[in-house]
Amino acid sequence: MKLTPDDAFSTVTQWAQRLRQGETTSVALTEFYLERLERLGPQFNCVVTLARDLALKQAAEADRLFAQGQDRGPLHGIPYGAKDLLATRGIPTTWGAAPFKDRIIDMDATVIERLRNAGAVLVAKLSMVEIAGGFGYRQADASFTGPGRNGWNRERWSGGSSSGPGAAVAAGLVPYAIGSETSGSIITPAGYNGVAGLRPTYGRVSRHGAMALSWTLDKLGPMARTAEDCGHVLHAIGGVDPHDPTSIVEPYQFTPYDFAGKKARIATIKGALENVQPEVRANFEDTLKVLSAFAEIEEIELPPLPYSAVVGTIINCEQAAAFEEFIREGKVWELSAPEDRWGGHSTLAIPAKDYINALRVRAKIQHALDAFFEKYDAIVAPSLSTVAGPIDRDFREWSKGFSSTSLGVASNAAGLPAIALCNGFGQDNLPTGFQLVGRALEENRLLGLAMAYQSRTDWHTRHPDLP
Amino acid sequence: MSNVTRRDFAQQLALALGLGLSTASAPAANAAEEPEKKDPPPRPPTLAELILTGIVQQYPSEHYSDDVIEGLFSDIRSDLARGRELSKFPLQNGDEPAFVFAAYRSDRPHGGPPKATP
Repeated sequence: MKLTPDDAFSTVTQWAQRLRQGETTSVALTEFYLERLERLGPQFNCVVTLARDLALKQAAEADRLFAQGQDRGPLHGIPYGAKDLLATRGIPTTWGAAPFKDRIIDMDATVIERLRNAGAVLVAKLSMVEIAGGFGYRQADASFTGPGRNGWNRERWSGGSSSGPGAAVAAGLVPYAIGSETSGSIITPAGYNGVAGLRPTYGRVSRHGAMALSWTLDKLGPMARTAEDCGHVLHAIGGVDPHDPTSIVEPYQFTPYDFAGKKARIATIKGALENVQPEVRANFEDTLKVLSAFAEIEEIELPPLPYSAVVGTIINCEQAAAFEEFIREGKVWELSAPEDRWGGHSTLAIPAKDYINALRVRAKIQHALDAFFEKYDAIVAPSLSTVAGPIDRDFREWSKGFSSTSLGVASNAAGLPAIALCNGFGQDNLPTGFQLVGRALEENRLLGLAMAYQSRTDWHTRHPDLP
Repeated sequence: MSNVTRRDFAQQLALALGLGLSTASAPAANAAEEPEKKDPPPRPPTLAELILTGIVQQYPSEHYSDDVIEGLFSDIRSDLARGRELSKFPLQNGDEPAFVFAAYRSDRPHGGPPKATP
């Protein structure tokens, strides 16, 4: 059967059903998304490398297995994109940075390998902010592939650093993608593009084969149209990996918590709406009304701890070690954003005691936040304080006067999971969103809450009008 | 106000390191042209300036323009401010850093290895 542009916005779950009902094949589906990536990808600057040959080979294999009665699960035969910091054998891995634009790391990251084993089809390496934004970029044009353009409006930013995954999912160029977050790089593009983004607990997903920006903060996670899809992807990529000593031994199984018959306990943060755009505020207030159908909501204050100083110091010091050679060899001066060329230099001189103190305070943050989650299933806040800003202006200009809560940095400091969902639209028909943060390893609780929200709303079914 | 501005310091630094920056207002250059004028004794460099000097010496490049030097100063000041904020946080001698970082749960021995519920 012929696939239409509207089909491009189907969920993983819907494609899985249609593949099994024989309505389409993995090869046809892969051709469909490859064509969209090729035709529309350049409009969003979201594709770095199209993996046509590999994708068609994997799709043919998926169809062959289906024909033999072998079913590898919900991702079997379905295309996806990977942020271009995941190593892929035979395909360039650029980290979004001009000095690496032709570099091939001849291995597959564990995540890529696991998705292959789940029958998934890699169709594209997707764009990202150079070096995952570690050098302090201040504007959208911070990648050798150009500014990440929003899936809803090409003159607006798609967020970073997982810019390509956010825009590609929103624009219906892939059903889902793998992004990464050190501090905000999944939640931000998910928020600006109105898609679901799941940042797993630190250690839940192996980072073997992924660019290291900050060893103790980096996480990999799915970006998709629904929370349910994120759960299926996490099921495939989560779990211990002997190549990543920080990976959590306990296996992950997607079994979303069912809140039927009982009320969840959700905390909001006092003052969370003080410095946000009016539409962010209005949509968040509506979100609380939806959540209150199945949750008790209580206002709290986060403990007054130096979250930003901790996360900033840890990222700076770890990236200084990770990229000292890059700076020493002068490759840093080839980066796209002028501020990225020198933005990493000061980090090379931070005293060791500051890093150690940051790690000491981090332990306090972990204990304080964990104590919160003895009482609550999740903490909720707007994902971002504004809708996506223009691609041609400094962030400091268009975000002036707006600010988010400390929940993002606090939860990243503690390695806690979070999920971002679309909760409406605002200025210029751009998406707004909210995030739910949970206790360590409680992705299923977050996914249960997120699915309950999406079952009562239809924001995740809206999509840009693209041919 | 110090005798030597931050900009002057950066330019003196650039000059000393042989970097290609504009030196029109650099006191060292003026001194060379007007040897009869006695400059006031230079103030000792600030910590941020010393750090900048170290970075520029360790990572030499022709790209250290005035704007870059200004940006670096700003970053160094931010890094120092973060360090001061962390130093101010009350920590006891026994507060150990999490050298091997892992997500923490109070209901598991030593915070881990954690087990999800349900």
